[in-house]
Amino acid sequence: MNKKTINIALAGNPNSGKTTLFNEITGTTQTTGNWPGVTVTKKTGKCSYEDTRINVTDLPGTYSLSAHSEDELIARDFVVKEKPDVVINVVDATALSRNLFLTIQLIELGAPVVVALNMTDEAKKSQLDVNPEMLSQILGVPVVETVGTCGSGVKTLIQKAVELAEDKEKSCFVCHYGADVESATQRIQNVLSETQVAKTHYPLHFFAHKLLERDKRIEEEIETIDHPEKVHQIVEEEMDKLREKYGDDVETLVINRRYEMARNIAYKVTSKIRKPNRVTEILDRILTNRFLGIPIFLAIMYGIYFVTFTYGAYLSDLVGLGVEWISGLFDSLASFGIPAITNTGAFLNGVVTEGVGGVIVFLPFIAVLFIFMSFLEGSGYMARIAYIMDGIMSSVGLSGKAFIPYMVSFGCAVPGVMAARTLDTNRERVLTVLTTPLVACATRMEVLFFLAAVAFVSNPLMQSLSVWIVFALGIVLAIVLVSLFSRIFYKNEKATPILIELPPYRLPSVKNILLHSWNRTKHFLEKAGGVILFGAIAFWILSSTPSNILSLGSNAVISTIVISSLLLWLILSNALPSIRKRIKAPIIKASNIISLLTIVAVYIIGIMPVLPTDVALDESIIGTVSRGGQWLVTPLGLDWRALVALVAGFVAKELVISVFNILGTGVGEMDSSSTIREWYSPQAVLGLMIFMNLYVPCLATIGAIKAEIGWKWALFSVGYSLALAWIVSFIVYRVGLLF
Amino acid sequence: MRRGCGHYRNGHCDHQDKNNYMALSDFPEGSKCEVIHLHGCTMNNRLANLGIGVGSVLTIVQNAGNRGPLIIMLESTRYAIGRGMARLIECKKVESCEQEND
Repeated sequence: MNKKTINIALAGNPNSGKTTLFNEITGTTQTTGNWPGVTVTKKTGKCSYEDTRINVTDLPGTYSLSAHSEDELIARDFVVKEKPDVVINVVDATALSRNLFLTIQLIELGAPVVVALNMTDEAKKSQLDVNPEMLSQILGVPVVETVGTCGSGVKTLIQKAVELAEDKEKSCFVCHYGADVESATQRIQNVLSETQVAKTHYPLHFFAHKLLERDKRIEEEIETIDHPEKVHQIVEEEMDKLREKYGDDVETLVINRRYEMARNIAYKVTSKIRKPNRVTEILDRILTNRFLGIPIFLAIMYGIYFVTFTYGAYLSDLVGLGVEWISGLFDSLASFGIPAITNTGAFLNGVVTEGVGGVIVFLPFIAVLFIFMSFLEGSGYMARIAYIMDGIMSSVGLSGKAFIPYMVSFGCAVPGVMAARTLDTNRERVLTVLTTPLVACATRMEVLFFLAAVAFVSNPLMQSLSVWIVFALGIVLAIVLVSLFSRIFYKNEKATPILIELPPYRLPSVKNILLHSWNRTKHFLEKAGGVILFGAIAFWILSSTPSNILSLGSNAVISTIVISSLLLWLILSNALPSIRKRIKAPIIKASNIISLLTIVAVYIIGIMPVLPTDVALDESIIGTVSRGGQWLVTPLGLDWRALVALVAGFVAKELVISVFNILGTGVGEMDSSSTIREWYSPQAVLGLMIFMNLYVPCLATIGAIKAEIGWKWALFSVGYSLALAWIVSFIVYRVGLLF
Repeated sequence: MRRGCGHYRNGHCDHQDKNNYMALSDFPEGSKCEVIHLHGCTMNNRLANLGIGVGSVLTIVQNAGNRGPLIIMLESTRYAIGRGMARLIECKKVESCEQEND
């Protein structure tokens, strides 16, 4: 059996439902949402049709093939340079003319196109009939009606795509730009055909059109050929000719002509009546009202956190019962009276229940938060938030669109940092990437809930209020810092005005919400079994081994070196995206298991036999080392234990909980909250919460920042956030002491 | 080599003297207008990609008067557009009895 393999790409306007279709085609569960710019990277999946294997690539949305932002560039480069066998052009049936604009360009590029006429259910609801046969006739490409949300039409779509890949039949559709533009195009084409450009993958007329549109990236490509000035001269001559006739609009002449074509086609194939979307009209009148907009937004956010805090607590208690039960099992190991088993029980208790279990107890909070976030993302409100926040954001020099990465960061800072790709200028991207990590992500919410429960044990109102204050402070500081950084690094650049599509409001399906929240929560579960587990082991070993390790004999020293290097590898390979990308997942999993077993074996053989019982925490490796740096946090009312927690939090924020739990058990209690209260005053814990929220979120976020804007900025981000965290928590602690 | 693009003066339309010709930002909520001219070149492509160009008929859904972005509607799609950009879009009033489909 020799199976054929073909490559298919999904391209289309932002928010036309590419990822929803992609999930239906490949059976994956990539994040979808109802705002333009949900997908900012290309994602691949597989499926098969009869005896053909299909690699499917989901691309970020783009309005045209002239890329303005990073995500659009990814889409365009893939279509132009990677040359997929078939491009499935996902077209939103409710906004046909705008979507056909891209379709025409794809056809002009010579790409084999299948049009997926998507959201036909919504079109029908507003009594808008689109005639797919007629559209197919005009464009000369197959057109398939689809509804991504229920998967209808997907089979036919794949069938058509496979057929097209076999036939390689090209569309004979030609867009007419008018005699004058055509003659200009012809002349530019002639001069281009004598250059190296003729050998590139672009059709020459496409290249010529882009030059007339003044497409920056195409102009850059012209610079790389031998005599770019020849081409420039011809282009300018032709532009001048056109300018005489059409005035200053010549820059958009080609685009406008193409648009006329798209509008004409849309006009021909659709019914003339269209029912306005009353729900969207009414909701927009309320939610984007100039006076009510911001208060409603704040109320929604507070509501989400309030409900998360209350209901998450019930669920969390349930999980807590389970964890306690397991802990009881481990404790009972001590009753055997054999030191080795007692030690093992203590180890398992420390690592599994305190370290990992302590984190899992807070997962219900995350799950509830994600249910609300998924609802918001699917509803269409996200794009409105960009509109509402535009006033505030533009006063510090960003467009309201930059608030969307902040919103994404409520879930996780890594996709938040990546969401900045949709912004138009480099300046906006850098400023947003630098400041999004200040917005408390779900993980940091976990830690905040944990610390708040500790600090204000008898006061539930203060518990939720303190979390809210820390959270709001993060956002306010982010906005203030944008203004500051903008003044320092980009003195003379102005904000780009907002321009964003506001999609109709939609009611997200329950299935979709549950699927998305589960997907995201699962990621945190996996983290608990990976980096958190290894971090907890590392920490437990460090805190149970005395610092005068040399006195334990050479075996112990060698074992310690082996163990610490293995642990370092484990933590880094699980926390750093750059490493994870380079190594295949099964290899990482295998390396995890092998390293873990080796560590346990080496520990049991090399260290256990010589380990004195009851090592005081102060004399353990971690205690000795961190007390050396204690002066760093004493002004904040904290001690070396908090320092250790903060250092561990550098890797992943959940480790803050693990560390406090493991340290707390030393005093002899299962619940660490009472011990933290013994160590620190409530003011100091509030300061700690703020510190925790403001400094670097985790290694993965630093990796993402590096990938988006480079090492220099990533280092700067680490540095400034540490300084900011220290200063702000110092102020809060000192002021708090006055009360 | 490259020429400037448009009568870009003080960041505002300069055809104010002609009757009915106003910047998009000056149209009240609920009114309809047709784009006559786009001033300033950096934004033209961004707008054109959304289908907003000379001849487009826009409905003003929201306009707070003197500050903040506007919400406009083209065909049945809504867009938020910054005021600074809307100031550079010169429009002509379209009587509400006229239909969008022309």
